[in-house]
Amino acid sequence: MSSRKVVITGLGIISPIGIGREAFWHGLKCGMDGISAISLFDTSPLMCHKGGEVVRFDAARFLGQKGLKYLDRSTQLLASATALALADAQLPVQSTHELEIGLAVGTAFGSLESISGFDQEALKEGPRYVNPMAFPKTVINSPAGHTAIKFGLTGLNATISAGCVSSLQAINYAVDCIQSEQADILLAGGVEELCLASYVGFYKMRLLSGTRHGQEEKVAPFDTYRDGLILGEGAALLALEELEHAQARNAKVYGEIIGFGNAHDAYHAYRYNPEGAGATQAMLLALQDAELEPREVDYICANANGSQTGDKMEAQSIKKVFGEYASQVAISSIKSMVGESLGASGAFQAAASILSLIEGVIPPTINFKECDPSWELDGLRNQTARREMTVAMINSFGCDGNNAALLLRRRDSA
Amino acid sequence: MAERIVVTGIGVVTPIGIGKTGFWQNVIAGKSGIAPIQSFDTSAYDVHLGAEVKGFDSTPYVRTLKAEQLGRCSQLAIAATRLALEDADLNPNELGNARVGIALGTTMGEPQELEKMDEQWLEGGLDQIQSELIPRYPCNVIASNLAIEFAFRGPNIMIPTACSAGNYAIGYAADLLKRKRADMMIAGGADCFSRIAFTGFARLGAIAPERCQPFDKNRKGIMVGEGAGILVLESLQRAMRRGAPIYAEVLGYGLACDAYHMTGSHPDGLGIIGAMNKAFRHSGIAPEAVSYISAHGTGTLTNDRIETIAIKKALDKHAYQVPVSSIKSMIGHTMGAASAIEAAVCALSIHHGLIPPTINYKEKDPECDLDYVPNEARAHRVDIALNNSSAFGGNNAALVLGKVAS
Repeated sequence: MSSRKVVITGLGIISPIGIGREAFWHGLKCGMDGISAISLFDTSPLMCHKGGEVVRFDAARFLGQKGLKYLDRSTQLLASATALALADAQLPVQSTHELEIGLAVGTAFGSLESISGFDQEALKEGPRYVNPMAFPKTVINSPAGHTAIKFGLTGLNATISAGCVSSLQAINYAVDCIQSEQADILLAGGVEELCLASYVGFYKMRLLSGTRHGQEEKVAPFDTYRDGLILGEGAALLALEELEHAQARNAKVYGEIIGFGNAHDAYHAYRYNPEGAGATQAMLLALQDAELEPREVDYICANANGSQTGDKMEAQSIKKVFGEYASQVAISSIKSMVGESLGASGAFQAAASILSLIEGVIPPTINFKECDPSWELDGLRNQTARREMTVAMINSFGCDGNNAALLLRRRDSA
Repeated sequence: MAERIVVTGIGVVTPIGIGKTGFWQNVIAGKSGIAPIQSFDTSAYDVHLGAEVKGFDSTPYVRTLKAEQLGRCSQLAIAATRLALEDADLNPNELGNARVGIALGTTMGEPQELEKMDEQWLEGGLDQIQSELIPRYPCNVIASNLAIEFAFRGPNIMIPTACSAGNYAIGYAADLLKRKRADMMIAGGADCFSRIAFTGFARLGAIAPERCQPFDKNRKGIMVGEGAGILVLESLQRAMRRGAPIYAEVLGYGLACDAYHMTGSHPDGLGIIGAMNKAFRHSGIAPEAVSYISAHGTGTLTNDRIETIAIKKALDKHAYQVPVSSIKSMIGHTMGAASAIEAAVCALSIHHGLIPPTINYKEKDPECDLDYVPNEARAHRVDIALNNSSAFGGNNAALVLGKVAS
């Protein structure tokens, strides 16, 4: 990586287990179950009813009431996370020419409810009667665009959409842009909304837990029981800037982003490659990028979301990369608590990981009892554990074959 | 010294030509690709013309995947990529594919899949929705399909920043190469004809009834279009080693957000100016060095006026000496593909010493008083081309391409 060190100086989190950094961390530490019956839309025609919904979300608290009704759910989630990230990083809520702030946002589906809603209204009412004010919400970068307007973020504004790896790519995109001096401060992460269209899509693909054998709807990453994922939602942003820039403004520094790897399986449009070639390659590239040995990784914040093939593929890929050390490294999946939030997942994991390193606490994989013994992942626990840690690896492996891994280092050792 | 990144292959699928050679001939001849829309029935709309890629048959291009299982945008992107690889004198089977990456822009992803889902949903409820449609919709499928079709296993990223997405993707692809995250990048943009986009622009009153006439006093709006533009990017060193054709060098780019309005530019063009200034700085060039500007030039009243203001601000007096043209007059607004196809035009302008015209230009607008290369292509040495783009969300991206001395 380049000599410009990129550090995390703020976190903004709207999650199913808590709103704000402290509530989120409390939820992770306590193994809070963020999965509940969905209230946002009617699931009664389906066999699945649960999601990682952000409940008791009052966007007016962060954005004020004015104009709120024109912002859809993705945008409200993202803009609220932005307010939190700016405050946590002690950055002004309206940026100035002296301090230009930008956004790099990952999302898989964008504001799908708005996009499909616009089209359906035009089909029902006729194209002359659809509300033109709703049209700007149909571009995938709409949440990022609206958020920039809300907070005067005149720095670069990028949306990255790469399925489940979207937000790790967005974080790395931000690091690349800061290191190549395209930007000084970027808020980077992801957003995803729960909506009926994407829920039905995953349901029909039989990827959701509870669609097979009449089993209970439950996210059980890595567990022998696992029978699918549960979709979640939310937004998470990391305030990123160059170390000297952070020091010059006396910002608190959570940690440093030290490596990234991205590799594609080129295997199938929506099936994991059981060989895990891309996942293995992404982890190896991240280690190489950070110039680290596998043994220097203390914690793996896993991609595992309860998918039969995906979790097995990840377990075996970790063993390939880490060898014998795979049985010692701490591993957990926070998706057991927050669900699979697609474009926001990697950012949730990155935020969880940096807090884990700072607190010296490994979040649990709730619902985990036992995994295939041949995987030899002895670090998996369904209880919170304490351990002194320095480096975390965050995995995002999409079923479209896109794989990313990010490495973070705790601050006082940065 | 940072690695120099060059364009060694060009593949385009446009309303006026598929493949670099036919497209370039038509661009220079000032041919229009505007015609009555065939994708769907427009009888309930007030406007009926668009810029579709008519008679597009993806079967010669889609070889690994099955074309009937792909959305149209993926098919356009695969065709443009295959053409670009052939143009770059590359055989995908002979490449070290682990180090070949993909960076693409789009506005809508695969909107036709979503539109089909919406129809089925309204007609018969959730039960009637075909299960394949949703997995084929989100825009990451385009880059994933390219990876699968060509077995490219390097970095794989989609940047859906609406109508400036192509420039974002090309700029970032060059960065990835400089940072050695890949040895070769497939970079550009793609969008297929979308009922959602057409409906939205129609409701905003932004679609011209007859023709797209950027910078003309009587301009009446955009023409919704579709297409794909793909560049093969690699280091100059690698290109020279393998004796590849070298069209141009990617000198740099700049990004800036208006943070002002979702659909309209800042009235003083602050974001457009910011993107151009950053692009000059990032490229290490003076504004006076620009020899051609491929304008965003959509043909709307406000875009063309504000872009003109911005060019004058960023280039000062030099603005009046630089030819500025908009190929959107010919191929309409191809959304996420627009700035990628325009980047291809910049590379070809540099290569051939020819500048495409802005067609349909009849009457001068006192507020648009630059040299828009009206109606006729022009022989002009282009050492440095500036490719402007703006988008919904206030996203402005400017890309700078330069001539590589032989």
